[in-house]
Parts: sequence; structure tokens; C-alpha cells
Amino acid sequence: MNPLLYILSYEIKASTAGRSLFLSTSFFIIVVLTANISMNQFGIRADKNSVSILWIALAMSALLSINMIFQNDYDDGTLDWFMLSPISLETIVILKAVAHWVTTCLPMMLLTPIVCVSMGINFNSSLWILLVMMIGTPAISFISTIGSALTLGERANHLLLPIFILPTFLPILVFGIKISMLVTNSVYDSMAFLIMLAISLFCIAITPFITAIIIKVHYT
Amino acid sequence: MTLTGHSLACKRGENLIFSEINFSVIPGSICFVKGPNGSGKSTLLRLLAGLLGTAEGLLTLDEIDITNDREIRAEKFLYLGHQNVLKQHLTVREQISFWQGITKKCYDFETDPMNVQPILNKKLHQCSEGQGRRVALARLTIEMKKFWLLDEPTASLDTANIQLFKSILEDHCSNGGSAVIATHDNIGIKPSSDIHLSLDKSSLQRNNPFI
Repeated sequence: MNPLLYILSYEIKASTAGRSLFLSTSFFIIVVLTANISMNQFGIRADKNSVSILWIALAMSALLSINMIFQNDYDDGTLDWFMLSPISLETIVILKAVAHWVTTCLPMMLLTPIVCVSMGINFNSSLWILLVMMIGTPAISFISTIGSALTLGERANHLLLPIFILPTFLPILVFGIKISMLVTNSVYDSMAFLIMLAISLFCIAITPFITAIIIKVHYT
Repeated sequence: MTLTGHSLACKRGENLIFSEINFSVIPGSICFVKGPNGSGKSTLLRLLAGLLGTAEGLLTLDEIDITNDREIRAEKFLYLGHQNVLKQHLTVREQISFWQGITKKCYDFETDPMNVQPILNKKLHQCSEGQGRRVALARLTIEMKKFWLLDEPTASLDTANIQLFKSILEDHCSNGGSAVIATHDNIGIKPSSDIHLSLDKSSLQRNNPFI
């Protein structure tokens, strides 16, 4: 097996064994359900327009596990080991982002059709929302690596991270929410899909380099 | 393969950690880094490993300048710092099989040089400090690199396990490997050379029979 695949499966194993998977997914469900229930209290029927809650909950749950991306590796010396390994740091960042996506975003996405029921969104639309999330969430994982690298070794990072990482999710959130609202109203705008795909691919293309530079700066 | 440092210096920000460090490590020899706490032993090892930049001086391997050569260092050096490079929620078995997979080499479970057999199914966070260190040291025997850069390798090991470490170190040296070790413990091996670091930056002394 390729060493990169070994690292990827190791990363996924290490983060799922740490129960963070369970944590962010349950946070996602709790936020969505709480928001739905409290909106019902004020007489606003939680309906398809409240699909934005889904996205905000997704972004916030992804934030929960951000500092796991590099901080644990930094604490236990694995990051030193990556720095010294012949594999380039950019590749490591990509593997990290993929592992983060598989362990945090993927389980939340798979639960989306179920939580959509609580919002009165039909199954067909929820599958479309799933597709939009499939396009958007990789970018969230990749951007997260920047935040995680920036707060490396910073003790206050639990508070610092959400403050400056959440705004960077905005382009993805704006398009994600808009497209999700459109599909729940049975409007399928392929141009919006493509723009979102472009934003996502752009993030995926540049973030590994940025993150690698940040980590190198941290070491020098 | 001889590793030589020529008047190495390291700066963190404006602070000079050490300067004028000269040493040479010939195949099969061990070099101890000595000095009081805070004198820069860990910094020197990180510098040799390539995690820190060199402010001044040269590091050569058989007369070839490797001061900024990442590939050669990755191939020849194995750095083990204070941290064990272990994932807390994995079992010892999973951790070892990861190293085996990535290096395409095997840990010798038959002779079990670091005695990890009894704790194979334990998760790392259930292991004691000393057991964790043993697993970390087991990596040395898997990776088979020429130069070991070890920072307090025997920290939290008991006397029996220090003996195990001593024997893998002797094996390593008899196979032509070398090691640079920062330690306060008495491992029971006579080093062929020492690097002395002192807190007083004005009187950095050297004591090396090869220079």
C-alpha cells in the first residue's frame, strides 16, 4: 500500500478513536433540533426556509474539531515527524483535510436527510441538499486547516479559532444556503452549482500551500 | 559515514542559544550531549534533525554539506524528542503496524527488543509513561536509520528497561549506526565523544577527541 494511504487511514483511525466523530455529529443534530424547536415556540413554523440552520450548524460543528487537525499532532510530536519525513508538507495538509472531511463532514452529511425531516423538507430535496453539501464541505475542511495551523501552540486557540475562521466560511455558506433554498422550492440553477463548485475547488487548490507555509513559519 | 558539526550556532529570535559547537560522530559511535537544564540540549538535537534553522556553521556528512538538505536528513536521521509520537487513542499494535506499513520494515516480535508484547492490546492513554516511551523506542528498531538523535530517551524508564534500551543501542552501533543522545541518566555506555553545552554563553567549551 502507498505510504500516503497509510497516513490517511492512520489519521482517520486516530481521530475516530478519539470520539471526536461522535462529538461533532451530535452537536450538529442538537443545534438543528434546538433551533427548530425554539423557532416553533415563536410561532414561526420551521420550514424549508430554515435550511440555513443546517448550514450554520454544519459550519459550527466543523469548527468544534478544527483544533484537532494539527494541535494534537503538535502536542504528541507527530507534526515534527511529518516535518522531517520525505513527504512534502503540502501533501500532509491535503491528507489532513481529507481525514477531517471524512471524520467530521461526511457523518454530518449522511445524517442530513434524517434531520431534514424535522424541518419538513421532503426526501427528494434533502438529497439535493446533500449534493450541495458534498460540493461545499471539502472547502470547509480545507479552510479549517489554515485556522488550525495559525493557532498552533496557542493556548487560547479554542476561543480564537471560531472568531476568525467562521467568517472565512461565508462564501461557501452564502452559496450553500441559497442553492439549498432554491432546491427545496424545486428551482435547479446549474450556474449557482457551478459557482459554488468553483469556490470550493479554488479553496482546495490554494489552501494546502498556505497552510504549509504557516506551519513552516511556525517552525522557524 | 561521519557526521560533523562545524562551529554550529542557533538563535531563537534575538537570543543566542549556543554557538561554536564542534563535534564529529563516526560510524558506530555514540555522542552524549551534556549540560544543565536550559543550556540548549534539545535545541541542538532539533537543529541537527532539521527542525530548526542553523544561524551559523555547517553540518556535514562525509564532507558533504547537509545544513539545508532535507532529503538526506529524512533518509539518514531519526529524531525522537520529548514527545513519543504516539496517538493516545490507538492501541500499541495499531501504532506499530502503522510504522511497519509506512517504512515497509518489520518490528521483530520474536526477540521483541523493547518488550512491547505484553502491552500490544493496550491503548496508549492506558499505558504508563514508561510503557509509552518503550513503544516510542521500538520505532527506532523499525525504522533502521543510520543516525539516531535522541532527546532524553530513557526518561521515565525503569532500570530493566534502560538495559533494553542499552542493548538496542549497542546493536545499532555494532551495525555501523551512530547516535547523538541528550540524557541525564546513566545508561551504562561509555560515549566516544561528548558535546558540552553550558548556560554561560561566553565559555562554551568543547571536548571532543576527534577534533
